[in-house]
Amino acid sequence: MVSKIGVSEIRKMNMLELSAKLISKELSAREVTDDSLKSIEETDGKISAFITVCADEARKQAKVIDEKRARGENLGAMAGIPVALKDNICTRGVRTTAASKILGNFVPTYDAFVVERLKANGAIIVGKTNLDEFAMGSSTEHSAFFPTRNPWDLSRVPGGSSGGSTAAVAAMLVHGALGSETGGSIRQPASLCGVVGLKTTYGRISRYGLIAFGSSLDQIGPVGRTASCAAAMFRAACGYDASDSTSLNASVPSIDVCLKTDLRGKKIGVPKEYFTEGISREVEDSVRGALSWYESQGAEIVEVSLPHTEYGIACYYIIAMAEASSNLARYDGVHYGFRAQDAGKRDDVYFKSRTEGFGEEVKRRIMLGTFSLSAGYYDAYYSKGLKTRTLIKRDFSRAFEKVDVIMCPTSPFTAFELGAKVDDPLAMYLCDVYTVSANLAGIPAISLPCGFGAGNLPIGLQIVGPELSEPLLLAMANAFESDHDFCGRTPAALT
Amino acid sequence: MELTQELLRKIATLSRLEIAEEDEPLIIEKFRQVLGYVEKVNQLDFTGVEPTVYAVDTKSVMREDSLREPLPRAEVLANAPSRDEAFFLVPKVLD
Repeated sequence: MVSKIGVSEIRKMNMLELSAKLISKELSAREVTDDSLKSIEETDGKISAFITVCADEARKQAKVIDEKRARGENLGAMAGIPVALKDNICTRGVRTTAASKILGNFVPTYDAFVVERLKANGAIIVGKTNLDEFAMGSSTEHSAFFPTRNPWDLSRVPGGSSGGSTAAVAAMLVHGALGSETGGSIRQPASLCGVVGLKTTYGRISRYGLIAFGSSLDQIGPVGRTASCAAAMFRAACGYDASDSTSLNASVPSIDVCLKTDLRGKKIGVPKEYFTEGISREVEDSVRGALSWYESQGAEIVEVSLPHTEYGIACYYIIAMAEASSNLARYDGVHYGFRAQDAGKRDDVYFKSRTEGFGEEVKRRIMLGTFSLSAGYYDAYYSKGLKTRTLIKRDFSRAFEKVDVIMCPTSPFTAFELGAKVDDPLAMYLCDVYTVSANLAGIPAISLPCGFGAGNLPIGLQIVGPELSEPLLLAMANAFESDHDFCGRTPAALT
Repeated sequence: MELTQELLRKIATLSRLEIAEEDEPLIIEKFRQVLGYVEKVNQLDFTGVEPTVYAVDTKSVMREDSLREPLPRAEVLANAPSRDEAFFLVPKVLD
């Protein structure tokens, strides 16, 4: 069948429109997949969002979907939609590197739970996206392979660590992607790339098959061009999984619940601690503009206080580094992954393989984490980190007694130049100042485009809610974007 | 807290990482910046505050024992840097 729809039209279509065309058979999964692969071939040279493109596997999946559709079989909600996965999510038979030399040749023998779910829903996995090595970073410059560039300005970073996933979605190479978060790694790059990113309640999406960084913080989550795309991916990915002992047994909400809400009477908390020095003027203005819009729709704006906000970054890095040092002890040069060439003795296998296999930032975190857990320092650092976490969680519980959601910026600034922070770890860590608290408290939060600043760079609004409030966050994001045109604009790299 | 060269070397050994001697001053400087920052938590009063390891309530999950196929040995071993048909190979451990 020759399609009446041109290539660029497929690429620009949002996920729901595309799904409708697939269901009505105006488009085949093969055509849509080929279009995505072609766009990657044409555009990704500039952006470097992908570590691995799995064209053959994608075409095979598309063929299966088209055959099933021709036979009239029931297909999942994402049937025929091309998506990308952050390369720390295991894919059976497809190299999964975590953007690290130490896993440069690692081919998983199983699919992550979310990959099984996406495949069962008919999604076509076209490739694996770049990240900061082991998801440790906020710019995707710490990838062992290459940095990813922001589609809105190729001299700038996409944010991180899920910068490959957000850049791929922003550049319209795929219609959706999965990223992962430990301290803001979906929301911050979503903000910098002008797309929607959702961090779910801890336990909402199974971590089985996600390469571990900070186990009490890690969550997989969706990236979409719009809230409705993120909602479709969220619904496809969530659900109980016996293979993850922290998986929540919560039902999957309907798509309607994820897209519709009445804003009248909704109480929106604005934390005074988030609008202090350090936030750029244009970000503050855009976020306050969004708050005014919600107010104009009948929502009530209430000032709230999250008094321990200023301790968030310190608390987060103590805990995340400690957990990283423990999780990354498994890379021993024996069972899988890289082994140094000249490792002639047993200890050399460990020392040389890890020293050559890990990048500088990963080594820094392993050592700082090891230090904070070591005898004599545990009480001074790790133990205090866990107690600070209690105080931060308590702040949110108190705030949610008064309000339905909290709104604030996702990032204090728009995308920064490549190289601007890469040699200054503390400056890089401070990029996460508005995002880490939701990870520490285990609660969901979404970032959505709410404006553009100087240089036509996107600005993100963050909406944070209590446990399991993902449908409300998505619906509130959907309401805003339906009345604005910040989503779905074409980035500079494509024009 | 004073991060000394000796302490850095101890941490590196515990982490099974090697550090070149000429890199030590810069590593120490960057570690001091980060530690200096995270020591901010010392300003807080933790009287009566319990630690939070997991933010969401978690319980031990019990399930019946059941037989399942293990991962295929050949595929698992294919990822090993050194192997034979059945084993992971490592340099001699005992002299």
